[in-house]
Amino acid sequence: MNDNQKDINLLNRIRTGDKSAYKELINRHKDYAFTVAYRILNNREDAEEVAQDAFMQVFGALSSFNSESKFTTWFYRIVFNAALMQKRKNKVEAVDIESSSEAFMVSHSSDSAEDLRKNERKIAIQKALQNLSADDTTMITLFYLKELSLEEIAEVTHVSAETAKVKIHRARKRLAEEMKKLLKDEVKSLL
Amino acid sequence: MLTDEQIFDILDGCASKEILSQHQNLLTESAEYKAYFDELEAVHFDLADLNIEKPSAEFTENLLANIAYAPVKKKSWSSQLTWIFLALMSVFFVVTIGLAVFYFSNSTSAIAIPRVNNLEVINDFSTDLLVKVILLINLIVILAIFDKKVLKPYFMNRKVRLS
Repeated sequence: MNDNQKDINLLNRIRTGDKSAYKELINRHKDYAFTVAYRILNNREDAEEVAQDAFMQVFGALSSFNSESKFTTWFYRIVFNAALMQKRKNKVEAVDIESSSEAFMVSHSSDSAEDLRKNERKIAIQKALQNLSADDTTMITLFYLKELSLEEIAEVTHVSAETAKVKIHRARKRLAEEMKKLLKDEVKSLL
Repeated sequence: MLTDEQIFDILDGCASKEILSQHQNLLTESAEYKAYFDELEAVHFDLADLNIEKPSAEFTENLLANIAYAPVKKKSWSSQLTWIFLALMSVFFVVTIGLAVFYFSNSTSAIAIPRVNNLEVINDFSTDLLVKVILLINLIVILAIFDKKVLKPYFMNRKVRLS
């Protein structure tokens, strides 16, 4: 049984009123849903709310789900739309990466130079992702989660597969530029 | 120099052989290309290494607490109508047969009830009461189908238009 068949099986159990199936479905997809929402919103509380809201929407609209389709495509589209709506609501973005990155640096003070360099890059890439548009962030996040094919990412983001491919390329290019800028700034600040 | 798209195709593992050989040549010949490729490659691996974020430990419990579990959907009245109709018809059929058997067996007994009268009773029952009941049930079924197929969709559309 592949992943999608497992999901469909769980959905069928939910339709028959099996309460344990709700929990199983949530546990299977909560991390990915939260990650997508978090990368778009940059705020853990909002991301958690959006992920929960997406699950609620799924449970409320089970009758409209076509069992021939892939569950994750449908689900990520709900998460993506919910996160975008939340992002529009939050005009002022809460940036908590500064504090978390400092804590991260302190807690990893005993690591080797290589580890520190890796951590620095991780923090920089998270910062760079925050500077991208929601569209770019989503494209990159969905692509690197490796859960969806290019066609499925296109379906989630309401574009053609060819456009999705171009958008992913451009988003990565912009991210590389952001990274360059951020790392340059860091070097400048150290000097 | 290769385009960004071509470089990303190399990183994603979907570049053609021709592009790959061009890429190998450029790596050895152009320091500028190598630096640019290394930069994009580093970003690519950084992204691939990004952790999956974890929600709070109470995520599932909080969500389950908010779910109003959908009750097991009972079959609607209209979907059960066919079975109800068939069940009623079976009951009538059994009753009719039962009555017929009862009156025929009585007619052979010692009590002298004219046979013609018994048959008349059965005939009256089947032609009058039974037919009336069957007609009534048919009428109910037709009204239920009309309600489901015509009236309900019409009023639903009207509701959607008005809202």
